[in-house]
Amino acid sequence: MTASTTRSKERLKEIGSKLLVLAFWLALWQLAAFLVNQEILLATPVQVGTTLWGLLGDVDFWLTVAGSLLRILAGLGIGLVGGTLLAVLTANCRLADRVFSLPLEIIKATPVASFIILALVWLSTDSVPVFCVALMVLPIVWSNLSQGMKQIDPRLKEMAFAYRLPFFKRLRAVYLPQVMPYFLAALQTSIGFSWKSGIAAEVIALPKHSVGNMLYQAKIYLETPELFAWTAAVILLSILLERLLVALLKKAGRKFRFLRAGGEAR
Amino acid sequence: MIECKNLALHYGEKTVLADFSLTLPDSGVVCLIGPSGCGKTTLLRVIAGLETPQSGTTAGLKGKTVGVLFQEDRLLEHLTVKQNIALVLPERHSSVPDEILTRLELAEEGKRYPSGLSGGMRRRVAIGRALAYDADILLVDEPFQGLDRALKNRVMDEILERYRGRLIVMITHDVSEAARMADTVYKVGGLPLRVEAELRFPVPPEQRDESILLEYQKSFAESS
Repeated sequence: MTASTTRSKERLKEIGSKLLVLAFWLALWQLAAFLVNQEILLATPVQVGTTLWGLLGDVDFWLTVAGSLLRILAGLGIGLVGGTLLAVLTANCRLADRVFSLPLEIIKATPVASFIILALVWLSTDSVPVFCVALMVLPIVWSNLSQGMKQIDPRLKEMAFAYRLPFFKRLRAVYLPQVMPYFLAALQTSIGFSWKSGIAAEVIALPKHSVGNMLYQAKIYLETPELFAWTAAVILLSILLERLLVALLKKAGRKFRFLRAGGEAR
Repeated sequence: MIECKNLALHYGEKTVLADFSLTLPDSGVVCLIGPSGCGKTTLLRVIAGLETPQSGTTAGLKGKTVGVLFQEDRLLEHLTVKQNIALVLPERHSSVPDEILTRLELAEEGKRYPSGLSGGMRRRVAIGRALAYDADILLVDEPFQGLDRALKNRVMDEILERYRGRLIVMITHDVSEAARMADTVYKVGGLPLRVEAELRFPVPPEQRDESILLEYQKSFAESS
């Protein structure tokens, strides 16, 4: 048997076992819904699937998803850039580290609901989710990257200095490969948090064309299958966005040689 | 000439260099032999600009490029052998000279990653990188660890050939390495670092036969 057939067999086995696990939980959910026997309290997976399928054919669904996606991407972008810049600053300046550590730790510990309510006072309804997502993401990126930068091997930094490597070469060859695993971890965590906090902010701020608004409507009219279907849509979107961004970053890493071709950075 | 004058360097209570002076020629091989921890590596690091002495000066380095072959390999694990060596080449797309790979017996390993290489192979990649850098001065710190005798001799010849007419400063514990490569040997001790004896090996390295090598080793043993 060749290595590739063994690998594809293993892959099939893995997919099979994942499907089995999914089927188990869906069956359990179906059973629970059957026992409760009240759609308002617990919709069945079949009802949720049918509702979601119905939503997919609706233009408004896509407009709503696009609205939420844009807000979340904007907040994520601000958080990623801001967190990265702050990490570079605090890693290189002890005073900046002392000054910024305290507020960043406070932001990290503050409940997202507090931010949402404060932001409602300060900002337009469309900006509230962007603001909250950015505030959630920023400390995650900052703390992960700061930790990553501390791990950069000083001997490699010295080697780069001794051989007078230009700044961008040094960045690409020495700094990025060592920081990248931390950035990837931060990105993965951040995307999940972005959706959670972004949708929560939308439910309270109720901007037009937002998943949060739809969830709120579903709750008011006690349309439980719709509530579940929108939630399922958010989960799927979050997973898809995470996979897409991580894959893009890895591809860029291999292209620009700061990740090892065919594998993770070490 | 490179002139190290009245260098002083201490880490906390530990004085590594105290009023240390040494003049190095523009070309040739200068070896420093001495016990571990006597300050040889620190001196090399000062010359490389990796360490700043608390007082004293190093003159004659301005405008010169300095290549360093560190005691550890310091390879980038995410780059292949060839990419690791090409890293130090000045132009973006210049490729590693084939003869470096061939002479270091790395021609077959160009596309492999350091993590899959033996200690000796990794050492050769680090040597290849230092050779490819093509500096005015090459500083080497115990460069031949993990290489067998025959390969070590070939690598020594390669370094001598590539750096002919330029300066090599080499730290070693192995007198036979010094006898084979050096024009001048400083027997050093410390701390703080001090020169205990200076020996000249006047026969050009390529003309040294076994008897001359033995004679040089003997003269080192007898020096004080």
